[in-house]
Amino acid sequence: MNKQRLLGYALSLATCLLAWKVAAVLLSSPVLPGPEETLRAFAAAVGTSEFWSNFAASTFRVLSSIGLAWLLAFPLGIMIGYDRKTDRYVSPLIFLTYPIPKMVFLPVMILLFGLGDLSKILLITLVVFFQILVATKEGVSGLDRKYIDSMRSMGATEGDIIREAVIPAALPSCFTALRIITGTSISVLYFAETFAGTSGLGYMITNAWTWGNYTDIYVGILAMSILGIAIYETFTWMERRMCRWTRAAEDEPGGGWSWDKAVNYAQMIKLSHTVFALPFGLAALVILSTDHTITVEMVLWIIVAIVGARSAAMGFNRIVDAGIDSRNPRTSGRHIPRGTLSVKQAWSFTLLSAFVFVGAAAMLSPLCFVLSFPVLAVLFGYSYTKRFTSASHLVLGISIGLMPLGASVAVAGTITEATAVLSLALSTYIAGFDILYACQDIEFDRREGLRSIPSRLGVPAALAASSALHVISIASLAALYWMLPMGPAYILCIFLIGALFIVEHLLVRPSDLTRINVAFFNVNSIISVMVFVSMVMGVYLL
Amino acid sequence: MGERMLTAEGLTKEFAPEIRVIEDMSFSVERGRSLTIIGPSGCGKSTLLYMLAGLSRPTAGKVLIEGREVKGPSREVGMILQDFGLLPWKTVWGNICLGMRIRNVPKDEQDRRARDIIRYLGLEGHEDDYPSRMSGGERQRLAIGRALVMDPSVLLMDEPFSSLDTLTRERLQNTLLEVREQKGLTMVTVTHSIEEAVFLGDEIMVLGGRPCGIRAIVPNPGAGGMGYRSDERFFAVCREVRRAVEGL
Repeated sequence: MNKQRLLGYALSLATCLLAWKVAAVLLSSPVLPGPEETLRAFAAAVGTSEFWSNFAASTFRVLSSIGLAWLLAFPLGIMIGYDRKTDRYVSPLIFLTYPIPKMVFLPVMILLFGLGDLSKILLITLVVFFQILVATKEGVSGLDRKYIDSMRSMGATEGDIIREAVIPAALPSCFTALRIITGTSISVLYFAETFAGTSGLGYMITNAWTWGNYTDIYVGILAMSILGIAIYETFTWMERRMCRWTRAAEDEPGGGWSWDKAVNYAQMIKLSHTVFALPFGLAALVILSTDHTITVEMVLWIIVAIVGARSAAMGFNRIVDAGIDSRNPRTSGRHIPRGTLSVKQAWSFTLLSAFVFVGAAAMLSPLCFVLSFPVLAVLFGYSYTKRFTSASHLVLGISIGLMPLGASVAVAGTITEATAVLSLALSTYIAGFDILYACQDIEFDRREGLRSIPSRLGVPAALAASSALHVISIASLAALYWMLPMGPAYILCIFLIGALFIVEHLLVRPSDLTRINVAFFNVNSIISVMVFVSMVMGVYLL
Repeated sequence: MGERMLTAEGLTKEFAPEIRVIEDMSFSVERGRSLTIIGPSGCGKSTLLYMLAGLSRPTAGKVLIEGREVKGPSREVGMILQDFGLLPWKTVWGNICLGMRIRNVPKDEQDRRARDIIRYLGLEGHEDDYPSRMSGGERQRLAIGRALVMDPSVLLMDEPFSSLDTLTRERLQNTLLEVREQKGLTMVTVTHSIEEAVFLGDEIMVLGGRPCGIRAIVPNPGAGGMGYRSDERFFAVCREVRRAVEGL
C-alpha cells in the first residue's frame, strides 16, 4: 500500500470514527456505543481464543468460497468469452439463472450438505460464481480482434493466443469482480452463519444480540469489516502486481498525494498563522483551569476543534474569494487563483476540516456538538460580509473571538465571565489588525466595490479605529487581573503587550504601508504568544 | 525483370455466397520492390492484405510467396496492422519477443535479436515501458520492430501511419525506406493517403468497384529516395494517382 492509499485510509477512518461518535452522541443509547468504548471492547476480545476461533472460521469459509468460485468461473468465463460456439450454448443458461437470488437456496444447502462449513461455502460460491463468470466473459469479449490477428500473423496457436492475449485481457475485469464480491461474500457469510451453526463472526454477532450485549455486536461488526478490508486490499495488491499495464497510462507524476500538495494545503489556510489564534484558545484553558479540572483529552480535542474550525473557515474564504483574489495583485499568487489547488480540492479540504471540527466538538460534549453548527455558520458567513458592510473586520474579530468561548463551553459547560473578557480582547485585537491589513487593499477594494473601514473612511481614520480597538483589547486583558487570582507577573506582561501594540502602530504610518507585512507579522505573533505566556505567569506564578 | 517474390493469381473472396468482396485479382511484386495499394475505404484492401498474409483463405485463386502457395501465416511474412496490434499488457521488450516466443526461438537468441532491433529503431531505455506510455511514433517504431525481429522477407502493412501527425509520419516513412534498403525487404502497404502511396511504392495499385478489383497500376520509377517528396516527378505521379482514384 502506498502513502496515498494509506493517507486515504487514515482520513476515511477518522471520518468514520467521527461520524460514529457524532451519531453516538446524538442517539445517546446503549444500542450505539461510542467508538472508544467499542475499541476498548475490541482490544479485550482480541486477547481471547474464542474471538480468534470465530475469526478463523469465517476467514476459512469466505476464502475457500471465493477460491472455489474463481476456479470454476474464470476458466469458464474465458471459454465462453473467446469461443463463440461455447458462448452460444452456455450463455443462455447463465443469463437465465443469473437473476435468481441464490440466497434462497440456504435451506436446500443445509438439507443437502448439513450445518457445517460445506453448506456455507457452497452457498457463497453459488452467489459469487456468476459475478466472476460474467465479468471475465465481458473482459474477454472486449478483446479487440486486431490483437488476435496480429498474433496469428506471427504463427500463434490457440494456446498462445489464450495465454498471451485472452487471459491478460480478462484479468482487470476479473479483479474488479473479485473486489466487488468481497463485500457480497461477507454479507452472505453473515447470513449463513446467523442461520446455522455455532461458530464464526456472524454467529458471534447474533449471539451478542440475543444476550443484549450491544458492545459485542460492534466488536463483531468491526472484525467482519477488518476481514473484508484485508481481502479487498489483497485483491488490489494482486491486481497491481499482475496488471501493471492498466496503471501505466495513468501513473503520471504529480498525481495523488505528495508532500508538496500537503504544503500547498497548509499554505492555503496559512497554517502558520495559527500562532495568532491558538495561544488565545490555550490562554482560555489556563484561565479555566483556575476553577475547573481539565483533562489531557479535553485539551487535545479543543486543539483539534480549533485547527479544524480555522482550516474550514480559511478554506471556505479562499474558495469564496478566489475571483477577488485573482484580480488583486497582492493575493493573485494564492493557491486557487494560481491553480496549484483546484476549487474541488479546496472544497473537499474545507468540508473535511468542518467535519473534523464538528466531530471534535462531539467528542467534547453534546452541547459543543450542537453549538458547532451555528459557529460554522458564523465562520463561513464572515467571508461574505465585506461585500455589504465595512464592519466586516468586527465580524472577523467576533468569529475568531468565539474560540475562548468554545473552550469555556467545552470545559465549564457555560461561558465564564473571564473567558468572555478574553474573547473581547481577542476580537478587538483581530479586528484592529485586520483593519491595518485592509489599508493595503484600499484602492483595490474601492475599485471592486468591497466594503472596509479604510476604503470607507480613509487610511488615517482607519489607523485611529485600529488603535481604539487595540486600546479596548489591552484594557480587557488588564481587567482580567482583577477578575482572576493573578500574580503581579501578569501586570508586567500586560505592560509588555501594550508596548508591542505601540510598536505595531508606530510601524504603520498613513504615508508608509510597506511595513505591514513582515514586521507586522512578527510583532503580532509575539503579542499572541505573550497573551498565553502572561496567563500562565499570572495564574501559576502567584 | 527480377525474381517474383509475391504473386496473387485470380484472387477472389466471398464472405457468404452472393457477397463477393474481391474479384479475380492478379498481380505480383518482385523481390526487394515495394507495392502500395490505395482505394476507397471499405473496398476490401484489408481483406486482400489478410489473404496475402495467410490469415484468411481466398474463395478462389491463390497467393504464392517465392513460388510456394500460402496456406497459413508464414515466417517469411511480417505484418503490421492498422493501430499496431501491440499487446497493451506487454512491455516493449515483451512485445518485441512475442513472435520469437511463439516460434520457439531460444532465449539467448531472443535477447540478442531484441536488443539489436531496439537499438536499431532507437527505442533504448523504453524496454520496460508499456505501449500506453509511449507516443504514437514510438509505438509505430515498436510495431515495425516487432515485425522486423522475425527477419521476414515480405512486410505487409495495413495503414501503418494513419494515426500519426505529418512530421512523425514522414520521419517513419523515411525509416521504412532505410529498412527496406538495408534488409532487401519486399513491401506491400495499404494506405488511404495518395502522398504516402507515391512516396513508398515502386508501383501504386489503385483498387475500386464492387466487388473490388484492380482499376489501375501506376508505375513510379522515381521512388525510393528521401528527397523524392520535393521532386517534380513525385507531384506528377500524385496527380496521376489522384485522377485514377477520382475516376472510380
